[in-house]
Order: sequence, then C-alpha cells, then structure tokens
Amino acid sequence: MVVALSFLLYNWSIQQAQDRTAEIEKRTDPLVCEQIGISIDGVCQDFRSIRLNISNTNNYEVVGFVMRSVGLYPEDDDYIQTKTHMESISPSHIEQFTVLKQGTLSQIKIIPLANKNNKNIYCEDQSIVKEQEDLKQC
Amino acid sequence: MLNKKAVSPLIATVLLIAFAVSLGAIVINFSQESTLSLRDDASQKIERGITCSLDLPINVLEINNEKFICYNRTGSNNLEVIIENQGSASAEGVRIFLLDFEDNPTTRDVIIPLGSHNRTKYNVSVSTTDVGSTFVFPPSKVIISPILDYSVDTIDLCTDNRIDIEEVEKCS
Repeated sequence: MVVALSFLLYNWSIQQAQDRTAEIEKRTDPLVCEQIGISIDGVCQDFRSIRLNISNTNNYEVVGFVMRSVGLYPEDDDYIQTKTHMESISPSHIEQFTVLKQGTLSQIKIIPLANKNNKNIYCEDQSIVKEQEDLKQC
Repeated sequence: MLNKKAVSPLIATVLLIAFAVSLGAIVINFSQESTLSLRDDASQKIERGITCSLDLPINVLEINNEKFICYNRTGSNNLEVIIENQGSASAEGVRIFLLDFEDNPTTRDVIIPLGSHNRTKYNVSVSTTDVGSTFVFPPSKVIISPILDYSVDTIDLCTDNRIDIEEVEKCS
C-alpha cells in the first residue's frame, strides 16, 4: 500500500510540475522575441505583388513573417488581407521576397515569426509598418 | 448465550484492516474529487485572467496615424471599425458600447470572431428605435471590449483590454 501510494503521489507531483513548466514556458515567448530584429527596405508594389527586402538584424533566426495589408478602398472585400510567408532569414542576412496580393495597398505591417520548441511565435513588438508613401510602384 | 463463539483474533485483524483500507480509499477518493474540482476551478479562473490581461491585447487599426473607426459609410446609423488582435488568444466577438452627445447609452454584441494575431472589420447598425433606448446617433464615445466566451446564458467580457475612443467622425 505504501508503494502504491508513493507511486500515485510521485505521478501526481510530476504531472503538476509538468503543467506549471508548460505554463511558464508559454509565458516566456516574449523573451524569444526580444532576440528578434528586422528591418525592411526596397519596398515596391505592382498590381499583383509586393516586393521587399527584409534584413535579420539580430542573432536569432527569423523563420518567416506575416504580412498584414490594407487596401485603398474600405468598401472592398479584400480591404484587409493577411499572408503568412514561411521562409527563414538567417542572422545578419538580407532576403528578397515577393508576396502575392490583390489591388493597390495603402499600408503593410510585417510581423516576424520566431520558432521555439517547434512552435511559431508572433513577434508583434518587433513588427514594422510601412505606410502608403513607402509603397512605391515598381 | 455465553456459549457463542467469537471470530478468531486473526480474522478480526484482517476484517479491521480491510475496513480501515476501504474507509481510507473512500476518504481519499472523496477528498481527491473535491480537491481536483477546486483546483480545476481555480486554474480556470487564473487561466481566464491571464488570457484576458496578457493574451488578448486589441487595438483599433491605425492607418497614417488615424484610427479606422467612423460612421455612416454604408448607410445611416452605421458604425465601422477594424479591430486588430495582437495576442495569441481568440475572441468570439466584441461588445461595442456607445454613448451619444447627451450621454445616453446603447450596447451591441457583435459575434464575429476576432482570431489570434488577426484583424476583423465590424460593421454595426445602431438602430435608434430600440425599445427603451433614448440613444441618438451619432456616438460621442465608443468603448470596445473583446468577448471571450459567448453563450445564451453568459457573456464573458475582457474588460481589462477594452478600447476607449473619444472622438468618432463621419467616414470620408
């Protein structure tokens, strides 16, 4: 009986510790984002796509990015669009991307994605916004 | 009567142990159930609190430093707003609380999901002929709160992350 009780207690305490650890790990996601940094230049758009050069300015790999865009006319169904682009950018590297879209955009927001334990983390605080004056025609 | 035999000491001991063990099992079961239920309840409350305060930050979309909230683009008595969810939790919708220039209130619950790390456009018709409502369009103040959980019986609002908008203009 003592052995059985000890076994039950051991299992229960391990489960408790694992639950708390998972919770704490989840809360440390923003710390991963502290190591992420990007800059964007060479942005231009035509009717179907937008081109941009993204630099990884920090020491942590950027595994992809989310592009949130805003069109010109609020009445349009595709006024707000979201595209996820999963192509990594190594630290201190610059990559050129072409993202498909519809219509002319008046704003884009690029949110870098980091990876921790095979989970993608959205680094909203490290996002970059480009307004209409930055989105020139190619 | 005095000739009746009692159970042997060995059997008595076994019976006592069996009784103690079964009683112990019942007590452990009962206390485990109530403790787990209390723990689950507390965990749910903590999880909800953390989700509301940390995982569901919302904003009104800004374009060229102007908030995307305005009225009467697609009709009369109509409010349009784009909400950006920057967190990892999703909301089932939003509650939009409006005050007119005489401080008369009205409320709309819009059950259109606001996904994690996503944007949603809300187009709300605010009828001024609601029974009992003295609200007169347009609004002078708008408060938007995410709805974490919506059912017929309960509406779980995240008021920690509400957005207050003081000036709302007509759409251009």
